[in-house]
Amino acid sequence: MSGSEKRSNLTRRGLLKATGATVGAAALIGGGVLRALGPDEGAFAEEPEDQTKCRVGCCWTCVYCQYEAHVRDGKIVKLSPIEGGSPRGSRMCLRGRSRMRAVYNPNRILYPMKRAGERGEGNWERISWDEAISTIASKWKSYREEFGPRSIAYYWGSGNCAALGSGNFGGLLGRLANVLEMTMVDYCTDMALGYGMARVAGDGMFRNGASLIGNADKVVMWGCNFVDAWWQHWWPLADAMEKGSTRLIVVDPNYSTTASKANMWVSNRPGSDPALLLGIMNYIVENDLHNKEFLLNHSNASFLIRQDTKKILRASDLGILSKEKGDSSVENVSEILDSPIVWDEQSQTTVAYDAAVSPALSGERLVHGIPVKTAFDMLCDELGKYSLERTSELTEVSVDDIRKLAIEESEGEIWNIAGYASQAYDNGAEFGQALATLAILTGTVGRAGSCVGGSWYSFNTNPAFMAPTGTFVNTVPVLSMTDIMDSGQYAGEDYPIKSLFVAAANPMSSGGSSNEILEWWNKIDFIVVSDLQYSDSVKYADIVLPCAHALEVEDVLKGSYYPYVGITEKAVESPAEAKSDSDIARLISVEMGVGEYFEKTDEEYLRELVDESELGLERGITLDRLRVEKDICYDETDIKFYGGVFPTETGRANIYCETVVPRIDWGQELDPDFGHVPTFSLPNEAWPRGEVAKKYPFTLMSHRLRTRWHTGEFENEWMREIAPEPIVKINPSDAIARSIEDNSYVELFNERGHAVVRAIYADDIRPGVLIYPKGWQQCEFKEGGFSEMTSAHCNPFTVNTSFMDVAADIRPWGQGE
Amino acid sequence: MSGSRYGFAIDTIRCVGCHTCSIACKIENNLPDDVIWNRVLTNGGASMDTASGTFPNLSKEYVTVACQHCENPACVKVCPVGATFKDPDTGAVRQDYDKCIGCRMCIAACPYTGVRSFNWDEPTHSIGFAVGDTDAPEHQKHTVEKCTMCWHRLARGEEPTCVEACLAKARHWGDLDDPNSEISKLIASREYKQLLPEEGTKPSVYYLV
Amino acid sequence: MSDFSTGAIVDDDLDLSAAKGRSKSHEAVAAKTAAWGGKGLNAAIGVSAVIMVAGIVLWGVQLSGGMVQTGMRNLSSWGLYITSFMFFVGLSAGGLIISSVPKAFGIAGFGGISKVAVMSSIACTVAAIGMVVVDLGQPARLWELFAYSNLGSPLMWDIVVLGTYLILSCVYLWAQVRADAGKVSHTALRVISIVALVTAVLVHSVTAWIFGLQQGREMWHTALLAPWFVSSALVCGTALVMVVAIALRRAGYLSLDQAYLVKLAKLLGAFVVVDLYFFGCDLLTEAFPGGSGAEVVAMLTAGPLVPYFWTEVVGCALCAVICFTPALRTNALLVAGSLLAILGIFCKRVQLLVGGFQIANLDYAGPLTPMQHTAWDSGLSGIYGGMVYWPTPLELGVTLGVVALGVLVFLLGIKLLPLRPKDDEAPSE
Repeated sequence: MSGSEKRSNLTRRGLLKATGATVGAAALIGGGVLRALGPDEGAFAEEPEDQTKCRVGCCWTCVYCQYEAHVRDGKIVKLSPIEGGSPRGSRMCLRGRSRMRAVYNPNRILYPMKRAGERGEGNWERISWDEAISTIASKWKSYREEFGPRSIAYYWGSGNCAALGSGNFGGLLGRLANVLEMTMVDYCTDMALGYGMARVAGDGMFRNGASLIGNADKVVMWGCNFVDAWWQHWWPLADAMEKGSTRLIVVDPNYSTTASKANMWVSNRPGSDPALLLGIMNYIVENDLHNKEFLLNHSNASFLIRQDTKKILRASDLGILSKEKGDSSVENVSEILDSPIVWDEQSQTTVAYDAAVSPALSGERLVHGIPVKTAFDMLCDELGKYSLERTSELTEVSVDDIRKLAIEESEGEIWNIAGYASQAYDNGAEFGQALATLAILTGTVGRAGSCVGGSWYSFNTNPAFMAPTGTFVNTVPVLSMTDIMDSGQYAGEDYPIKSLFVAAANPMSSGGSSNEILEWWNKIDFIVVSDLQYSDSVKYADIVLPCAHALEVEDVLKGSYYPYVGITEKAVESPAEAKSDSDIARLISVEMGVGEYFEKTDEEYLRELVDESELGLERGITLDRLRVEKDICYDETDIKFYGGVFPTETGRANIYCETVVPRIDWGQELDPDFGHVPTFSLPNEAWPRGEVAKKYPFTLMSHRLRTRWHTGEFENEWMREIAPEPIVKINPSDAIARSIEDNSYVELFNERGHAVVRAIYADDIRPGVLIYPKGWQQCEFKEGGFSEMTSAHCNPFTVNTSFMDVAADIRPWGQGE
Repeated sequence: MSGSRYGFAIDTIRCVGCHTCSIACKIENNLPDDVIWNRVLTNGGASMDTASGTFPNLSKEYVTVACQHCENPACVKVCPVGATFKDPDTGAVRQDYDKCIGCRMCIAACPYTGVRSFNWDEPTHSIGFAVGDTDAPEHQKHTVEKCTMCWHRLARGEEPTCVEACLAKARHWGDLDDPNSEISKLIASREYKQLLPEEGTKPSVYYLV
Repeated sequence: MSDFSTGAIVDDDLDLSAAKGRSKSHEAVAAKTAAWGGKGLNAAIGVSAVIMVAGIVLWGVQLSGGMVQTGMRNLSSWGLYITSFMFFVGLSAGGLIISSVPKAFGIAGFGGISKVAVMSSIACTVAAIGMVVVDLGQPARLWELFAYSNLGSPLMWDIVVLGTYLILSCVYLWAQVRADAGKVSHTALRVISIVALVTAVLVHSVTAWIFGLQQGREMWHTALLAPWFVSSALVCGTALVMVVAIALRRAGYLSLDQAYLVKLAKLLGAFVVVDLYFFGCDLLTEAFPGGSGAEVVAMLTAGPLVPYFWTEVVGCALCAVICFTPALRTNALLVAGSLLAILGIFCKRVQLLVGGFQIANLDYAGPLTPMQHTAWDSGLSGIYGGMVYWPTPLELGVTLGVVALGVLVFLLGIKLLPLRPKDDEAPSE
């Protein structure tokens, strides 16, 4: 305990001195009047003299809340809400409040370290920055010379996603990776939802601004335990529910806390969400509840699809040349090149889609000898396979509940919010595609009261910053790394990877199947990890670089759950030899001979990123303004896909996706007929009637640990008072059947690994399901770790880690084989 | 001079058990390691964050429990040296650490299991320095402590930290004696329950249901 | 050693006629008997002193290293010290009541063992006060009890009454010694004994009220607790006096007609019956409605406190049987029965103290830290599944030290003060 803090003991004799007035600008709640302490009692209305305040924000891809950091004696003593409320409306959580623990973590990495001993032993030797950087540079230069620039791989995560942070492939480290033409390892995490929705909307889809949630008649949460994971959604929704304007419906296999707040909760078989959606859509169509107007005007439902090629019938198929822009000589032809064709009921002919007066939603016909159906028909063909009974069988939801849900989904203003659970199965993209299609089918998107998708806003910074030399990284999915390191090949070419650089990430813990990851890691010659804490990934590094904490760097909050761009100021200096991501990039760049592209100061780069971005120029948002105003709104409308306009070829949503491309293409074999419309395919292993289930009968799911952001800042002792050790929740009926006692140690296991944790009886868990809080590091387990058991299975289209598509079994610890 | 009678109204429909109020309190008051004044309790199954009932007929709610700042406090009656006392200006039940002789009679008397905490050891702060506000009272070994209603904040016209901190805007605080205060209106218009009302301590915390 | 069990007839202390005539010889005898005891007693005094010092050292360890070294935590914030405190107050009150009732009511007593009984009572009071002191977190602030006294607090009442009681016991003892020498009138002695009697009853009632007035702990909150504490005090106090008397007689310190022991035994038996009766009433009252009280009963009869429940019930019952059965009233069995009764009452104290914390009023699940309970990482079921409290060796050591203090006080009294029954002669060593 510091001896230098000034404290006044408020004892009974520290009486309030009567002034009869409230003190300072602090808001007074409750109407009571308190008298101020006299100055000798140490009271303060504004920041006390020995304390300063600055505006900071969280830089994880959480909610990017902004709040105040209070600094006293050079230490951050408090992180507290902005007086008067945060402009962006977010309310900081326990992680934000306790964030300074990572800054002052006694085990914080403060110096560059070199491995002394075998990888993973945990023996380190402190080295100087000079030695660290020159080692890195000399190795990289030699690899580049012999194997090419792509032999250096760069893996980023979401550890720091401010403008200069390395998360989400940003900052000077990202820029360096582009300049050096490295291989960028795509972390294949939580990508399926956006990818699947992009088949429909052209891009990922997201909810409207939280303040608009009261406009919805109902909010339907799909695989989203938002009160734990995205708790910023809650208070506006709670307000709306209190007023009675909005109801909450939750679809989740387990009775999550969100489900406990819901007006209706539907528990479905994990991984069956696409089937449920298809069943709902089928019911809607069969009962004529779909929104024809929206389908006809905002989607490609009426587009005619060639049955021979499965492509959209276009003007060229009919021998019609599309009108060039501005050419008024040709009638009834679309503005776009080679426009899609529809059947116009009124004129009883084929016409360009935007020239039709009353396009037909449905109808099989022969056009110019080509058999065609509408996109809507194509969808309905698939939907027709999902009768209520079949859907019930697949999803384990009662016919009644499916019907109820379907009716709910077809009436009124709806927010369909997706979390990241439903997309974490092999069929995750289909989930996204199906959910998006549902919204189009019912026209519940593009209005204040209707939207669909996940939760995200991004102030897109100036892309030119990332590629000053016009060169780019080559992307490789992490799920292919085993193959690449084994075969030395990727996408049909030789692909030697000799070095890996990890920043703002913890792949060994947050990736799928950590034992498998370790295998390919160990085939990489030279691994450098930049981090603050001894994570599972740091454990297996060759060189560790101490990076600064985001509270030690001035930066810009460019992503958020609100359409705001904000500043995060530098609260304190970095301790010892920790350096910001930017400085690390600079040091390496100089040694690598590309220092000229990294010479500017952080401030200059921030201006380049912000001031010169599209939005920055459009709206006059500058670093200077941010420094003064702290938080600036860049989208007052806050309604996604406003008016039902989508970033697609035609501006319309695609309920039929003409060209289904994989998320990452390395020349993998793909089923050409797959993905045009949403469909249901079985999860890879988490399915009760599958082969794997015979050996590993449980579906092993994960949920957010409220005390961590992924694995970030895990050595937070305050947080450990609330969550001291890893657990797994199991339904008591399952536990008793396996002689597992409540609160006893168990072994979770499958083919890929195991973890010894405490089992907690939880009736809220669906029988047949086990659920664990993610984010625990190997050193926190008695044995093994959760990440050993997750899967590195790669769906060829989605190229995403199916974190919940995991089968496992459980037994009391010590029971052995 | 009339005193106010401050109390809390906590909306259990809105509370999602996020623990932000618990941690905010801990930091604001520079609580020693392993001391939690405001605990987030699960009214459900036997363990934290579990529901009661049998799948799928379940229920769960969170109840945040700290000192109830009773109107008829059992603790104040029994403290032999008056170290625990009811503050006439605010109605808060306060603790004078300097006076406490560490007899723990108050813990025995208080019906609300666990709201009072005794510093069984020298208070340690694993972060290595004092956090929170400078005017939050210092902690002493071998004395009893508990929620102070952030009295040091009340003294400068601010509300208790936990109220400000709540993510869900579920916590309300104000003068129960003022019919026009937000809290009085909430209690008048909403259904509520209290913890252990049969004990007769007249807690000043209302749980809106 | 002579066997005085059938021999000497000792005057009733209130037989005035013989007093004057024997005063001079008494003084002579008193002077001799004041310093009684040989190597055995000295050794015992030495051992007690050593254990006491060890206890004080351990207390120092407790204070410096923190009470975290005990088994107590927030959810079970009192333990062996307060249990022993209750126990010793009971022993002391009982001893004094036994000795003062005959004098107060002017009836035949127990063969002049009154002074020894009061000495044992004083020793127990000292031990009781010692137990409270070692339980305090901030003993250096003891003075505050007198500077800032909250006179509404039962703990404060107990401090006052205990203090008064200690002084009064000493006065009473002194008065008896002086009365033996004829220096204090019998009326005065009678008055003092009445006051002593009332204070003794009050002391244990007030101690009971520390627990019984707390509405928050169901097991404690009963009007019966004060009378019950008094009856328990009478049981263990009488039993203690019985044991001490028999032991001292065996050691040759005093002579005592067996009839007095029989009288004492019958009284003990009666007290045991009353105490068990109170117990029965309480159990029935708790159990009958089948509500929350049933939990308390279950905890005793089928839960973590089972050993303590049955030891008391069986032990006390056996004691009563021994006391009421003439054939069983041998010295050995009387001692055994008395010890069982004492053990039984100690078990009662354990039931009460631990029982008060064994059932939580708020048992919702929440974060648990080491400050809340030693078994914090095994969840609520781990904490409340077994006994919610168990002492650490440190606590046992400190407690033993305080017990040694009490024993030391008693032995010093035996050695240095004229506590023998009036007409006893010191046997030769």
